[in-house]
Amino acid sequence: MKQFTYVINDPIGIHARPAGLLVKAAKALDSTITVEKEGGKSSAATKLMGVMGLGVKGGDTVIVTVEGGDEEASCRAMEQFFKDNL
Amino acid sequence: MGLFDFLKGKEPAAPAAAAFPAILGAPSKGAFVPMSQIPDEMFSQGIMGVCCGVNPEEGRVYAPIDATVTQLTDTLHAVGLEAGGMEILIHVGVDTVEMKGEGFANAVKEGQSVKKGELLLTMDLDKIREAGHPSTVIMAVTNTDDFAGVEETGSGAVQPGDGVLRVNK
Repeated sequence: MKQFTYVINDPIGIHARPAGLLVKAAKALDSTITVEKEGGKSSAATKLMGVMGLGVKGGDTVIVTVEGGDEEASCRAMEQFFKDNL
Repeated sequence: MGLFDFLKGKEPAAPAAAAFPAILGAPSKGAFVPMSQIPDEMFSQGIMGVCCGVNPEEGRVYAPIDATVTQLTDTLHAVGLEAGGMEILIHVGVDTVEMKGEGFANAVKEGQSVKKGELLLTMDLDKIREAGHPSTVIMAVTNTDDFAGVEETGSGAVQPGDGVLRVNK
């Protein structure tokens, strides 16, 4: 298992568009990705409604967990995704 | 007949399980927009699940099926519903998240059960136009992958509730 935390820069947070992009990115990986809002709910990164339902806003911290498959590569891909999109 | 039978009669009925194939009704009155023509590639390419749209004539959005309201957003322009395992996102307009709720009002609360045809939210079409956004009401089955298939069945002018998506289990 690998994990990283990320502080959301996008002022609106994880709304529909970035949530959709996250789901697409997570589905392309061979690891199971979980996104947790610090102090809040968590969701599989492949579930659009679950990700939107975290209610992540700008300035919030998320904890991303990567399990199974090529964890090293998946973790790198997810870190890059958050930097590029959120 | 027991003394309290009259009370039993007032128990709310459990929400009926959605029958499959399930038909989702148009969320608004207006012109049907096929998925491929929705002016937002997140939707038109199916990234958000199979979807369709309605270019609304009125600023009112109705429940497409008996469902539970699972999600509202601070920006008021989107509603998440759950019905029979279907996760349904109704998203009003493109990039309307930028309007920060201005011109939108929710008519329901999270956790509430709604009947098909019940008002979910209202929006000011003039304000959306002034903000420079398409006002297309987009309805997506976001967990399309959990089903055998989701087909678009709408065309032309639609009234709220007219079948526009068919979900096969």
